[in-house]
Amino acid sequence: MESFKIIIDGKECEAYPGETVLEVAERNGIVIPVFCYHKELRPEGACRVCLVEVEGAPRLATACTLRAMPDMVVKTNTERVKKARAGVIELILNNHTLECPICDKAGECELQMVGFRYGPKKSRYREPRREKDIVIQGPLIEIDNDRCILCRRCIRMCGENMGNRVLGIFNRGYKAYISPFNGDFLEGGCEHCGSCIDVCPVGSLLDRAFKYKDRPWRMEKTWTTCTLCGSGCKMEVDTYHGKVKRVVGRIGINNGHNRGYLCVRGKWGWDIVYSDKRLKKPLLKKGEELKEISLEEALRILKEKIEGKEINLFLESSLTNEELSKLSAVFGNTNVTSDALTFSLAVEGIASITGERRTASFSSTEKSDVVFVIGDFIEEVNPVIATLLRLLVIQKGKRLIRVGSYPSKLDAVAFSSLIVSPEEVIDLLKHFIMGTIDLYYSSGDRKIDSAAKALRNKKVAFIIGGTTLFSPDIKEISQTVAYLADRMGNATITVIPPKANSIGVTKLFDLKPPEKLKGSVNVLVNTELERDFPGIELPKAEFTVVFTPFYTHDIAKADLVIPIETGVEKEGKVEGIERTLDLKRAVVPKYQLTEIISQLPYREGSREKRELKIKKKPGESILSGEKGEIYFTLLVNRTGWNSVSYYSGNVAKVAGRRELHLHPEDAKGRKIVTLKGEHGELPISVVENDSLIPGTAVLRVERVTRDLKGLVKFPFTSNFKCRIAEE
Amino acid sequence: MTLEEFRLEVKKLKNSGKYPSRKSYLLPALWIAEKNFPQINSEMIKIIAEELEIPLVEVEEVARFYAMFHTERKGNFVIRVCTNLSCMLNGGEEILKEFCRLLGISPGETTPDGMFTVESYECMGLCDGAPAVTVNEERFSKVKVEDVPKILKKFGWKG
Amino acid sequence: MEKILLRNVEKENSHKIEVYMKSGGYQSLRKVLKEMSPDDVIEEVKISGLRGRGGAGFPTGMKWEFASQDIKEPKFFVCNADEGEPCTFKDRVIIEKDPHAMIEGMIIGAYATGCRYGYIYLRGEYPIGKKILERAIAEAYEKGFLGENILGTDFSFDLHVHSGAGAYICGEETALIESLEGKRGEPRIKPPFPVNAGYLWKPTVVNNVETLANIPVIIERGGKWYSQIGSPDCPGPKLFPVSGKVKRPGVYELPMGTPLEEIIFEHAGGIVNDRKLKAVFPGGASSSVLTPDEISVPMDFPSLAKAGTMLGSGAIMVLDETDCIVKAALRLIEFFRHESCGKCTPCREGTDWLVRILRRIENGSGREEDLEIILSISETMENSFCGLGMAAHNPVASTVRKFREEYLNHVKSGRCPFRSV
Repeated sequence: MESFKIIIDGKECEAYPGETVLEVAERNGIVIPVFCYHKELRPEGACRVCLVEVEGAPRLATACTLRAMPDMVVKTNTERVKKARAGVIELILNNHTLECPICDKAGECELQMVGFRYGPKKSRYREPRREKDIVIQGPLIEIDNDRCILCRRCIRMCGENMGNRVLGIFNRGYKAYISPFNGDFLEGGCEHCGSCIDVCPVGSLLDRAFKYKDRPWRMEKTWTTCTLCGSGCKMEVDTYHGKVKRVVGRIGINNGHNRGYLCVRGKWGWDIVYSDKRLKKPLLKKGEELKEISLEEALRILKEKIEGKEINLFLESSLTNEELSKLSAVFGNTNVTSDALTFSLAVEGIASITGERRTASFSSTEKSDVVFVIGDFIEEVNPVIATLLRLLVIQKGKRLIRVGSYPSKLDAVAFSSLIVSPEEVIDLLKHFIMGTIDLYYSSGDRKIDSAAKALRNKKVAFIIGGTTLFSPDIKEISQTVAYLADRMGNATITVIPPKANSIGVTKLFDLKPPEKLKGSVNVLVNTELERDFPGIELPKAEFTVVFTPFYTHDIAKADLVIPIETGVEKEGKVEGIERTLDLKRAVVPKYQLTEIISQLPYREGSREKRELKIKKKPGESILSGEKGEIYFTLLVNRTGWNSVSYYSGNVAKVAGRRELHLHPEDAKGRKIVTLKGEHGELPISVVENDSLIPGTAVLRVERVTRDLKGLVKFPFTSNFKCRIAEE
Repeated sequence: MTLEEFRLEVKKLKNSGKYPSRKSYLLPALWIAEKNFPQINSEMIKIIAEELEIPLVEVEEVARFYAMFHTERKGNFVIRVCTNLSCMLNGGEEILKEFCRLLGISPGETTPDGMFTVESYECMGLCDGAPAVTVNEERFSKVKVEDVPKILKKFGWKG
Repeated sequence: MEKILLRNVEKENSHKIEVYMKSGGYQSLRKVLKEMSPDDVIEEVKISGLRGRGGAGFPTGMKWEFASQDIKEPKFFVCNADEGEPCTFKDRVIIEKDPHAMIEGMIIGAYATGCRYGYIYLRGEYPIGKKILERAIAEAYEKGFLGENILGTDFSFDLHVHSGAGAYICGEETALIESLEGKRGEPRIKPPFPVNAGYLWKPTVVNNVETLANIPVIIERGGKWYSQIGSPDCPGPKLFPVSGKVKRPGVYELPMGTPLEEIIFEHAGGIVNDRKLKAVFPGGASSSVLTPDEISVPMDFPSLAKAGTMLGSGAIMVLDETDCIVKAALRLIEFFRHESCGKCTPCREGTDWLVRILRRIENGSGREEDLEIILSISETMENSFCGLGMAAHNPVASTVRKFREEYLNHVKSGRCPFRSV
């Protein structure tokens, strides 16, 4: 794009077509005060603080909405501008409560800063302060409307950027206030991403977990990476005297790939550190009981028990690279399984075409014209990635095409959403392949043809993720996508890691299904069997060691239990969706996995080179349903992913429900049905959902429990076949 | 009207083809609620939101933006007394006071029997007949203080 | 003078299509569809010099030209019948007494600009008007003036009434469009203007009722003829709703540029009880006040602008010597406070502050320095988002400037001198 020059305060600045004066000024280090403007949001022009004088224009203009034009001469600091700005700030301050001494925002409040710098020096307001006295308390978010300056950043954030539209503005004029529907966050469908709090310039939107807890200026800030899913979000952990007080994303300031966006787990899940289910000391099984022992003793026993033994290693894939390499060195790498197994299948599928066990980083989407998503429920598994995909459409104007078997929040911004039965996904992708071979090819379906046309001669970023990663077809799907990408040229493939270090685990280990482990000692690290390996029994072994931060169900099966730390207590690196990500220790833990492992002897490791068979052809679905069978996806809610709501008191407050979503055709008016799987059955209450396609079902759960064992079996939890008992 | 009937009306409305965008049916849908119920409450908002596929909060936002929609309970007859400039100059405020005095309520309130709501209203475009009063859809022009009981009686006032 | 806009209103059943057609109604539409291209129509309207009667006075022909040049489809034609300006009731007369004139004007406008769908955004306070308009539209459909292939041509146009629900701000065209889209009636950032990105971000023409009622006559008798009526730089007949303390309040049709004095004293019969004139708001609630020695001003857009006020909707509000100017300003600013959408700070907060100060002054607890504060708030409100806020302070600031003594009198005597104790 051709740039041109504009002059701001006498300084010649380079501007690009479409840019606003404020954006140009910001880039050139000229500060214009703002309230309603936010880098990540659509400009509103409502607060009228960013007024500037434009040569030749009779009125002052708002810099946030004023498009830069060639040869424009703008002044931001004339007496006229200063006076007008102070006048507007005076109006905002007139009725603003003077609660700074008890306001959580004090110290990082934009009204304080802008008011101090640009506001009037004296108040002329002699009327009694107007009080709305409307405080809306949700489980985690509170709105204090007396502090609100009605900039509407929260509404735009919630409605446009997050696509939720929970917050709205009621009444009009000076009586206007911010509220969710009926004053109820949960009823309004709030996902508790916390972005509204993040962008609030004043102390109106509050984090209830942080309310009255500490002051911004005295807390220590640590930038680290959230390990509660594979989105790998960069976040700021604020601590005081070694205790976590809150987590903030700092949207617009954060330089991570998540740009400050967080989800409920990242924003509020930090209190797992202080969970009452945290293990405090190592435990040793004595008879039927577990007895507390010292770490030294635990290490001594462990050393003894593993010496010369083949070890079955069960890894949860949010461990850091450092932890993983130490674990591999100490416990070997031949009998390793992990919940990253299906992720590795996806990588394998792609590698069978490309010859490389590598996927592109998320930023490849930036350079693409079209984002082609193959995946369901990304918004639950990797909420922030779903947000970033949404923003690619609404901010960057990319086209998004989504293929899946279930409805998704992303469909609202998608150029095209192709939702087909799980067994037809690969066939659908093949239509696209045909379209690249034969320009005149028609699938017989206009929707598919128009989507295929949208890909032609475009840079395409393929994204595979969500629950699709847990479908039995995942390897075949990935292979097909890779084949399509390969044919198109000019395309990248990214697989969204479900856990923080799925990529790292896949790189380091040649993962096996649990049935194929041959060791005689079981070592479980950071994992919970039911959650990460549903439907799997622990292999028979002489000895079972569990490394875990929490009292899990697996402790009952353990001979030795050793406590370890959680995410924000870790220092290290993970292989994230956007290259290697850093973890910085915000809180010092009592037990550190790497330190513990270092005290154990290393063993001679030999890693066999994994063979890679390249076959240049698309995959074939291995799914086939019979009449009366439905495809069933086990969906762990966003709050329950990684058991966060189980250990976090904050997140538990907004935890989802366990419910089965069925198409009305399948539900047939029943309120409760019994699902029959291969190995068991489950009675469950039904929610009719006509956005599903008939023949599919989604079971939303907070936590995978024992009673689901008969329905799903590791590593696949999606697109399992089951029947609904007729009665 | 029952809520089920209301839902059917909204369905009918959205299938009328009047607007190319579903969201545009929101004001007409709220008008149906306003005309058939004593107040627009969250039940109706939910029905509208479901039928028109609009987020709940957007429906409530709109319902609470427009002065003619009642999210608080209103009476069978809504008496709007204009107190804007021309009507004020011609005694609109006295008329309002008289209505309030006779009904024993303040502007904005509803009589306990749910019959009347009195509102101090802004210009209704009846300035040539100032001071003007409307009761539901009926207009009264050049109202004098002594006309107030007559107007009330017309709508079943027993006082 | 010959009545043009009000030519039909005296007739019995003037709202019925038969009556309208008997006096030549819908002949202009026939002429347009049979003999004129859309560009011809726009050209004729441009020649007429017609300027929008809603308040801003934008040349109608130009607006149509912009819309017709936009290539986005479909286009929408919206009639702004949200006549919310206090003491304005001119559109009501057309809506209720001569609805077909504006409907015909709308169809012609839609033809000229290539609009396929039309909406009449009618204020919620006109339920009677709504019924009349709906019946009139049904009649027009019956006669084939609306719908598919109008009068056998390939021009199609559908028209509906959209009822507002009590929001003055929806008279602002972008707020009106937001409201039509089913949202809170809050103004949008301009540009883009509605002619390029209006309803559903498609090209949308928004014209006032009175503007549209002029169209059939312009087509019938030619733009040239029309341009010779009234003031040369904004010609045509204009409806002046006169209310307040005049003997004969009502709507008067007079050529643009008729002196204010003539309207008040000749047409509206002068001041009630032959009292002395005190002040006039010449163009609705958001215009600056004029004193008795300023009323020789011709009533048209440029002359009033030169006099430091505006024509706006042309609503003339007359105060006599027994009326309190503070109270009048207070009522008007209370109105604006009530109608401010709350989007931008100056309007939302400024109106509230002004109300509070004026209430204090009216109740006798004002201070002299309040007057300076009023003027400075008024200056800040100039930077509001939309026209509502930019003009809302006018009645207050102008009365403070022109009736300073009366304000000071309130302050000094500690009470309103016009109120009996």
